[in-house]
Amino acid sequence: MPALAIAIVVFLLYGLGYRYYSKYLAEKVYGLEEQYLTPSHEFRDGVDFLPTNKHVLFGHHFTSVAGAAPIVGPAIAVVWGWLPALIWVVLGTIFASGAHDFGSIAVSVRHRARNIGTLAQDVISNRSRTLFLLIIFFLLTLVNAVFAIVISNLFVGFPEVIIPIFVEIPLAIAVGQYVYRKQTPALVPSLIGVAILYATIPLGNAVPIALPETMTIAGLELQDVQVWVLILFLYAGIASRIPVWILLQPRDYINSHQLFIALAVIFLGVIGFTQVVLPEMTAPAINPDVPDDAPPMIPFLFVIIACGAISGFHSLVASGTTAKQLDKETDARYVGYMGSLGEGSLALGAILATGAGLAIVGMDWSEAYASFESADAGAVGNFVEGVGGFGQNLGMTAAFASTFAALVVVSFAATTLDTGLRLQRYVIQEIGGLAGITVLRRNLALVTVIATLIPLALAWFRDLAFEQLWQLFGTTNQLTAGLALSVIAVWVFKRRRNPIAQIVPLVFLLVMTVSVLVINTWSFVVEGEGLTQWLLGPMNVAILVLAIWLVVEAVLSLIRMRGARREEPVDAPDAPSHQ
Amino acid sequence: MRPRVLLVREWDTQMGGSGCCGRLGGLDSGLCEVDPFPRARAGMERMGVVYRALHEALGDERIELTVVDPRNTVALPPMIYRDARRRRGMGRRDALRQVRRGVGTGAVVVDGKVLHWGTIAEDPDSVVAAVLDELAASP
Repeated sequence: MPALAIAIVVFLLYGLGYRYYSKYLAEKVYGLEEQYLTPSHEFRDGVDFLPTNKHVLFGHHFTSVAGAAPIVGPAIAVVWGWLPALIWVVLGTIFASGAHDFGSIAVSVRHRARNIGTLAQDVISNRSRTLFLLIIFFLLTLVNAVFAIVISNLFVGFPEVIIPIFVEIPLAIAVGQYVYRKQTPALVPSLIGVAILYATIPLGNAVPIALPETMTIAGLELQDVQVWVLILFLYAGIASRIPVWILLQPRDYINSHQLFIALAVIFLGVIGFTQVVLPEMTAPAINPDVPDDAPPMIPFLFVIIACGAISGFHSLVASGTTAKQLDKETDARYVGYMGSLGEGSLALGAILATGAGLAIVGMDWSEAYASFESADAGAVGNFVEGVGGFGQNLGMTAAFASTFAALVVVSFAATTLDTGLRLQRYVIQEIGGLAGITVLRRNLALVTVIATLIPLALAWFRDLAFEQLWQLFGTTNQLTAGLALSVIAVWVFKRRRNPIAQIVPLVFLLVMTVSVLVINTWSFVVEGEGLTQWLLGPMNVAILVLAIWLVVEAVLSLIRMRGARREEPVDAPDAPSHQ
Repeated sequence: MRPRVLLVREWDTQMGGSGCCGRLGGLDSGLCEVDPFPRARAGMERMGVVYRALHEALGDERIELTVVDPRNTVALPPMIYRDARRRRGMGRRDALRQVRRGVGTGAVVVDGKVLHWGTIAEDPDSVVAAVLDELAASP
């Protein structure tokens, strides 16, 4: 089947989802009112609260939620065939993510644009704030670990990308210095930065920097991936301590262009300008020879693909931030739901790249996905090769196209790493405050070391498989989404509307997530050994406890709300004011 | 159709670069007690003064006042270009020149024409006066 046909069908379904399902959510479930006085008007201050044109706000929101994570999950999950991954991405995007992201904005707008952590406290219970912080702690730890492994694997698999990626650091600093010191518009300097970056690709291809497979450092025999992990965390630890405007912000300018260049290469490559024959899906729709080491598709598919189908992280962007800029309440539909569709499009791109793009560069899909371990560890590499194939369709050389794709993924993942470490510091400080451990609140150096060492340990020890870490990351991301869906469901129920649009994805996610956690608890704690047993096992159990805690909180809250609803007038707690 | 005034400055929601799981460095996630982006915040505050002055002088009835991040590639360049072409009737070259100037912190754009660029205006009254002059001169 031509990849283009799949892309057309999926975009058609996304269009129908927007046209009909988001309309149903807007009118029947969230009850949006055009005349509702949104926080952007009520608290308008010209700084945080600003009524914003919905197209502008969509641009802010979409670039805030789209990134590297929706690429990895689908690129792994095609091991079961492209169809199951595609079905989950499409249904998840339309029915779960759409309701979740859109709902997070809607409920936040009705609660003074508060963020989801505070909303959980207000709408569910005081304990939910602690639950939220603990979930985020695990989520950030795992994000930092998995992205360090993703980058290290790409450095080993694509040593051609190393020169461009290390050039990007001084380049971003130079762009930042120029823009901030000269006070000049950033468009031209950042575009020049992107051009210089891509101009280094041939240099990277000519001089690939491959470390020896094993080397001895300070008496320790280390694999190349471990050395890269160490270097990455050393970099990220330093990067997370330097002022954001020096590196992080200027790199944002470069990355903001790269996102759209990559999307263009993927979807124009699917059309195939320089080829007469359109790229075909060479991966099986349903894999008849699933590797023996693969876990059961149900429930694992639904945590391996988190971002791209539904991502709890979006609720953090949607509430508290996007909600403060919403001009009309009805704009939440366009901004929130379309943001989900954008993320789903990235996941679609990953499925097409691994399902059709690999064949263009002459790779045998069944060899690339011969085992679950290789599918996991090589997922991003397969995506990179696949995008390289699409790049060839646009007239790029194979070497240039694959290094370009690796560069885009590493650029995004590296920024995630230093932002994640920076943020983890704040979370540890806050948890330290809740637990009464004052040294954690005051000693920034100690907190930085803790924030760095935990994910470093997870990423560095080679007997911890990437697949296990990615699954744990998926479960925590789904739990964050579960918490947000619980908040939205309780709020919808309180307003005497039918919360089925939230309850169904919530129950589905919790059943799948808890199933994975139970299966993994058995395999890690009972059957596992070494670090899997003693590090991942307890972590898995802790996340399972958080999942059960979340279920209890959600059920208690719904029961409590059912009683309160009989006694209160409609919309009493957040009665809408009108313009 | 109200004239569209764009004020360009960084948004804290756009910080963190990589998107999705990295986009949490902003101020409003509820996770940061301290401000990780003090420099951007200072710019937001300074542009806030300009915003309030413009809003006070002209109100929502006379203009559509919007604040945009310079990294908002989806909306900002097309919006300036389209406004310059459709609302001003500028040629492609002139419209692209407006885009080049307008996509930077500090820019003030009225219907696709960049009135101020490079730095955030220190004197909000001068921006209000420039916008009023521009609106008076516009057809």
